[in-house]
Amino acid sequence: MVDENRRNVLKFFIGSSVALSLGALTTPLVGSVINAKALALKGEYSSIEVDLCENVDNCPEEYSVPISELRQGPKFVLLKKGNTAIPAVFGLVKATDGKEYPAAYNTVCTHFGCPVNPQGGKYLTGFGCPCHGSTFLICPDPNGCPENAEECAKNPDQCKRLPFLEARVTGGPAPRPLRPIKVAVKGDRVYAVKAYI
Amino acid sequence: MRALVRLWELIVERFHLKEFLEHPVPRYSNLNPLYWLGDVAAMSFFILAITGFALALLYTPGLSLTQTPPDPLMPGQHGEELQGKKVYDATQSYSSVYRITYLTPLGFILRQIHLWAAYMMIFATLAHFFAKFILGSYKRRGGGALWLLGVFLGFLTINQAVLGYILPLHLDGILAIQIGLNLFRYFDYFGIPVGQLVLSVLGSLFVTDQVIKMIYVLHILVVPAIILVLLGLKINGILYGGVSPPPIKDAELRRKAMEEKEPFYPHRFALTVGQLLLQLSVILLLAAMTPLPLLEPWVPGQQVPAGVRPPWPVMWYYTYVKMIDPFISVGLPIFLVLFALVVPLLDRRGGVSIEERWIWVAIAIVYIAIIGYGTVLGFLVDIPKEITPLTRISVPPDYAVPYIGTPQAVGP
Repeated sequence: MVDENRRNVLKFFIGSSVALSLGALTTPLVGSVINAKALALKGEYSSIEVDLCENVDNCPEEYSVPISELRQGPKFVLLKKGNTAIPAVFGLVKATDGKEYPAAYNTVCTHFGCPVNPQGGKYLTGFGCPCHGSTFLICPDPNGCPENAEECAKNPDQCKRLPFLEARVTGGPAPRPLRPIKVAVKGDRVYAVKAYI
Repeated sequence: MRALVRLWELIVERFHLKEFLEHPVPRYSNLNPLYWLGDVAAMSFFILAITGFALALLYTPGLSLTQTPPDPLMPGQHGEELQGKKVYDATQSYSSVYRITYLTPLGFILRQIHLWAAYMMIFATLAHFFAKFILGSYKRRGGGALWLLGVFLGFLTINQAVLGYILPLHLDGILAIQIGLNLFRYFDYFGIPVGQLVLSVLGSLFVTDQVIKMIYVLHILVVPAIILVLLGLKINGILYGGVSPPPIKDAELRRKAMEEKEPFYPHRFALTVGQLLLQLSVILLLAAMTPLPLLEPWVPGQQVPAGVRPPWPVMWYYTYVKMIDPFISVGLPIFLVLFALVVPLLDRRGGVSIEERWIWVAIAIVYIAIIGYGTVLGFLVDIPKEITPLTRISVPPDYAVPYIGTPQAVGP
């Protein structure tokens, strides 16, 4: 009698944990089978916006890097706001129009969170993750980069283009582009205004 | 001397230790090594608690920048690179571990014992798990609850190992904490904001002083306290519920084996003490033969060299993360743990001897093989990973152009 009771309690706990885990695992699978885009609505809290400063005019110096320093190569800055620390790499991106655009990215890999290494020498061209081998490439075309180059060559009208300066995934297990840090230029410095973590 | 004997007798009498010391222990469990592995894990825990107490006094958590001389034990090419320098940048945590290891009397051996005892505890925990799986010890009355408690204790052991691995803030530890902080974000993708919860508790998804303090407190206080309480619960359950029955098919022989008992003191007691001494000698031998280095230092913003690998207890998992898509790499450990949890409900019929439940022994071997294969493979080869439609979880294209307004060119 007592044994039966205990078995029931055990069954309840195990059953509910199995149900919870299976639910957590099957929800995205079913979602991706039915419609991958349907998940986009649910995932809106997958990255969080952090306002470092209201606008570029009242941004403290600690969130900024002089452009002259960026000309030497990408620069790491640990942005701190309250308890939050955001590892940022500032750099100049050489665009296909021949101009240099300052940009900054959160270096936490979108796969499992390892710090990614900037690539490209003097200019910032992309990032590589040392842990599980994800690679990110920054789109250098001001008109946007074709998502699939072959398809875009066939019918340019239906070509889906990724935005300029997005650090898209080109390899490895990362599920999404690197989280960016919104920058603005004031005087001879680049300021980080808004970050995504 | 007489007074001491009298005092001992008084203690035994007043605290009713006689019942404990003369507790009958089945003879077969004293003879079969499959019944010793839990003791190894528990004894490792106490070795860890004692050395950990001393280490906790000497260690200072913190991320502030300091400088440290190179570790003479550092292996590999990155080590050689650093050997040329007199000092290099490191975090406060790292320097404090350096201070413990090389500038504190007995600090070196203290740290080595702590690390090797930790590895021994993990290994013993895994071995204990498979031993009890093969013995089918969850089949006896009360065995299911003890099995669940054991799985939970195993989970806490792995947790404790990961937390301790992070504390020195060497490069590998940093990668471990970063993965730990961000791994839960997959549950954000799954529709449950666990990653958000981690963020709201710790305040950051990148390592900070607060995060390290939290890890420190969890490692030295919270998790060990939970382990201690659950361990007491489990020992009590075994003390009054008995150990698992012997794997003998013949009912008459089994009954006979279960009736043949010995008092805990001196039989099992001697065995446990001998085992503890043997364990300590193995730990000292390992510390002497292969002392564990401090690994590479790390400061925020430092480039991470390619080819970093996790320590062996999680190597199998790392292999599957690299080999299989993230959906399964997050799901595989959940599946393995869930399977371990439901085994008592699936495997209910028949006796406990190997010939009666060979299929479950085979499953146990497959289970060991999954982990063993991943571990060996992780050390041997670098697995290339290709993008397939399955390698991505569908997530929102939540990109943003890194600009306020339109991108603005600078210079020529």
